[in-house]
Amino acid sequence: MAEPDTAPSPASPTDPAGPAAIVAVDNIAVTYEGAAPALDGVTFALAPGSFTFVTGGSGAGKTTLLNVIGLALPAASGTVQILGRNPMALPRPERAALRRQIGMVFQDFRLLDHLSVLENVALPLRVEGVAESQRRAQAGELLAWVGLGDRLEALPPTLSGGQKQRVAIARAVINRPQLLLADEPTGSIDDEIGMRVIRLFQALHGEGTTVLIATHNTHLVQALDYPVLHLEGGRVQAFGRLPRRQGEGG
Amino acid sequence: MRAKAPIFQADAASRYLPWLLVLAVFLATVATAGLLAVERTLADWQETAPAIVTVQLPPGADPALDETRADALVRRLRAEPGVAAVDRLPRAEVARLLRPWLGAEVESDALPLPPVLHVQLQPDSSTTAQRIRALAVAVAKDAVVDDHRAWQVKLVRYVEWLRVGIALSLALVVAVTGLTALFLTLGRMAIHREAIALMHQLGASDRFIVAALVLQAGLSALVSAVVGFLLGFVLLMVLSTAARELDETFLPVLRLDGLDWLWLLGVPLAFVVFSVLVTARTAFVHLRRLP
Repeated sequence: MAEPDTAPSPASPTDPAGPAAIVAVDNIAVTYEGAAPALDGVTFALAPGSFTFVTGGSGAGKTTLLNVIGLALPAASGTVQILGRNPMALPRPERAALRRQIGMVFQDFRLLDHLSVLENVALPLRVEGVAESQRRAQAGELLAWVGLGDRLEALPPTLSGGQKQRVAIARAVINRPQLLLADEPTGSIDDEIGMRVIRLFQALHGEGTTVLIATHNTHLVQALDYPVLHLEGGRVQAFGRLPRRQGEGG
Repeated sequence: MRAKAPIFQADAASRYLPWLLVLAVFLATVATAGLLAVERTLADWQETAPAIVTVQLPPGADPALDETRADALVRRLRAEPGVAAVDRLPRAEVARLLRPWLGAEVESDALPLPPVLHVQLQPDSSTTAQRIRALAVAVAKDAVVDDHRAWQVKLVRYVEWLRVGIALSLALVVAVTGLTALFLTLGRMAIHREAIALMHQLGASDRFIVAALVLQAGLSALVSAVVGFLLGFVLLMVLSTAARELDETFLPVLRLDGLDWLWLLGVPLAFVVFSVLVTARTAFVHLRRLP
């Protein structure tokens, strides 16, 4: 894959905490016990409404970075600002509320096998205390949108990988988060379904959601003209749009 | 959609807890009943029994003389300062007390029975058994005086130790219940760690997750507590029925009254609340480890 140029778009590593940044990461480091640093001196910022890919080889730190931004993992050092707030400085209830504004699509889906597809998708609404009838209506509508309107009562073990991925996406966006993080969303599905999933993300992006997708799918990244944050060995190697090959439009 | 499907699936730990709680509440109910009965009996003894002295006048050849001596002694004792009451036991009552030793023969009018007096001293009386004995001997040289206080003191001391023993047993049952709830909560959290991590990631507050865990544990604890209490209650009723056949003159019978039964009703409730509190506290502490 061609390295992205380092043009500061939409937000550059040199201007990490721009006033409008929805995510501002400043010099963070994460080290797992007995291992090399998973992240080391990572600095960047994302503007609201942006669509960004995080790329890098296996062990580059993509998942760790998403976990830090998704408040699933604290950084050992450095600061992270999400929606203008430092989550680690917030009381736990407020941190939980901030987490509700972040949708997360996990590589392994993380669906609860004993709950139906509808119940899985409605979980974030249940957390927010939304009435059951409203949860049912919203989850049903969203599942229809991702093409699973006929599998509402199915249990996750009966679904294919692509179907599980769409359920996970529906769950991540049901409460209309401002920030959507997806870890290898096309990793376990074929290209056709992968593009369908990406189109779902584009639709959400079109409605104003900031999207950050970690992927090692170079074809996907090259096919779409979005900024790329490239990691290697836990460090940011480049952040910007991929250089256009000659003859390509735009 | 199923109404309020539980977020955390039933697990082996959830099936184990109810049986332990049945046992714990059963033991606690019986132990509490024992404690209440001992407390009540002890209070009764300390209030009434310590100040009773029994005077027995051995029968002579002339029953009329026996009666005269007994009447004279009753009058003398009633005049003594510090004596609250003097009651002469009816012949039938004396016969009943002697029946275990003398058999049915004791009912015969031909058998001379000793006049027996119960002398109740005032609680703050300085009158001693020796003084009562001196008065009795003045009337009848061979009078026998029993000071109940000597064995009562020993019995009270024994019952006080019994009370300590029961209270310790009860405390152990409570401690075991608490530890059981603690380890089962940790076990459940280990079993459901992925679901807990997911709910945490979806923005569920600690309170929400704890409520989901406690709801399931609390409901099964309630059912277990009721079953354990009913089993204990049945045992107490059986013991209570058997106790009615005992002769309280020779063996003090432990009893419960209406208020005690109300206290007993609080045992299952207290255990449910306790196990829920331990579960909630353990879960809260454990969740603090998540970012």
